[in-house]
Amino acid sequence: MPVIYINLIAAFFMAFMGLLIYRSHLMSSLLCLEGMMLSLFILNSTLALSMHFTLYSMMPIILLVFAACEAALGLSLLVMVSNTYGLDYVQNLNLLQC
Amino acid sequence: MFIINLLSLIVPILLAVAFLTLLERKVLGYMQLRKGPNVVGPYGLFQPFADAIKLFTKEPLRPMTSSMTMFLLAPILALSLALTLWVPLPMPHSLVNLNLSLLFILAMSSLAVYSILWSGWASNSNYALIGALRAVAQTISYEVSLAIILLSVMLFNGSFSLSSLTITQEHLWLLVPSWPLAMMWFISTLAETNRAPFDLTEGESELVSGFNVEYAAGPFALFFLAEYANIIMMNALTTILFMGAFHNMSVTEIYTLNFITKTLLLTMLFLWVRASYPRFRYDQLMHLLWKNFLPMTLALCMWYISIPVMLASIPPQM
Amino acid sequence: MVKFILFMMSVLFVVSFVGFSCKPSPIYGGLGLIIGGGVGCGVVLYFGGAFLGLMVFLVYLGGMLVVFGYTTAMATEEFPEIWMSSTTVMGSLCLGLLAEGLIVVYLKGGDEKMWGAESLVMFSGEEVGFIREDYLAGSILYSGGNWMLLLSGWCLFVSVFIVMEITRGR
Repeated sequence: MPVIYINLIAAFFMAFMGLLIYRSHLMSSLLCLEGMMLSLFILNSTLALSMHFTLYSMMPIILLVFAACEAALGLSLLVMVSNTYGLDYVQNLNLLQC
Repeated sequence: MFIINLLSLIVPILLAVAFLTLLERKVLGYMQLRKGPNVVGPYGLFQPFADAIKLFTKEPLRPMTSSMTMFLLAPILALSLALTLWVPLPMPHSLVNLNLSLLFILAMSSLAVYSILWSGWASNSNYALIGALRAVAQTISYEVSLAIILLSVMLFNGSFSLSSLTITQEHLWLLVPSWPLAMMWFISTLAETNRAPFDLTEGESELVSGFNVEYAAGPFALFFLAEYANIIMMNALTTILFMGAFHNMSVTEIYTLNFITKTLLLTMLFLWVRASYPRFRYDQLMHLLWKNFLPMTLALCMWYISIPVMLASIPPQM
Repeated sequence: MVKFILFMMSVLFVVSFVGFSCKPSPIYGGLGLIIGGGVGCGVVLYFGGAFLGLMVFLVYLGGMLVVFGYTTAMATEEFPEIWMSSTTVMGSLCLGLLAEGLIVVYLKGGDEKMWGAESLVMFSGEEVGFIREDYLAGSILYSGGNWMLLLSGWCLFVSVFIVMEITRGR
């Protein structure tokens, strides 16, 4: 189903572009990272379901596990940054090397 | 046709919610040796309608500093999610018969957290924010134990569907082989619906009313309806999970009567608990979950995984 | 009709992604991501993956994003940035929506073959009807993909220690 896939890939790149914007909160960047994972999940599962890759259908669940790891790490970094600088603006990250 | 089915599900729920509020006030009143509402209509029977008319004709409050979209979105989300949760419940026929209804219920009830969080955040008041943060922490903590208990019940049941639970419990209520789980489930439902003794989110003495301080009139009524619809839904789920009613294919009304009676008794138990117990302290609430319920439910989940394997018994198949 | 609904859902998916990737205040970004997650779950459901769809709903929206929302609600700002409030956010939103609009125009107006019957390849033959492939995902995890299961379990275990190490003493 190419029409859907083009949109899903576009969603992935939108989130990727958002991650690259050097602006405002670190939290927003983490949300963009989550969005990338989400679009990858949707892409993987629709691929596995429409093509009937039976063995591949476990892949989205594995991806979800890795997304959970990534979310936990990102949030712990957020906690550390906001405790060190008081704010979680990404512009602060260059101010002083802690 | 589908609209009629939908309405015949929604309207009785809303009526039940209306009379639950009256019942609560009456029961609490008589438990404290007073009468409760008794002026409007015979025995105060029209009190809920009077309340509804009053609430929906008042002017809704819109604080200047609140974030308006989310402030208005949150109550709508709350009520629509609370009504969506009723869709897969078999009474004995459900509106939509889902294969994965238990997963569906878990997913929807986890979404209900957002309405509380957003309402507290958007009303831009300290009381509301603290109430919302408390509510979210409490609800997502107790959802963990609810999910693990549901997993154990699913291992008995053999599938995710609620309708096969009636077949599982044809001879014996699941309350009997899994009573520690059932007790923990009941307490977790009390905490999940933010009822007393776990109503720290709206602790009147310290937080005024919690996440819905800034709400008035219509939006407040939506929150109120959602809360009570959730209470009845949780009790109905408890009935289906642990005290399954007898289902005769030719006389389905008996199932409905049986089911409703049990649900009502459990709801009365909720009110009785509210009248009897004082409010928990917040750290006690969290310790109860993370230090008592979670290890026990995990251990029991392992137990219920190993029992069918050990005894070489399989759950009933549809 | 099915194709049209599916297409509109995917467009909505992209629009919600544009919504949070132009970086408004995090709680509005979370709103965008939640809408995106719900719509994405709908897309997966349309493909017949009820288990996978509900899984993403449960784990993603119920588990992880609640923690995100909780964190964002703690960081209260005086004036949270909405999509209309600053030129940067507004500009990037417009840019993203423009890109998505171009994609839609290209797809609708362009290649007619993409909308043909062969683009909707969902083999729902009767011979495989009683095998729910999305249910298989769980069982394959324990049979063919057991090394993947071990790997992901190990990852979760390690990440717990990393998180504890990062946030230690704070």
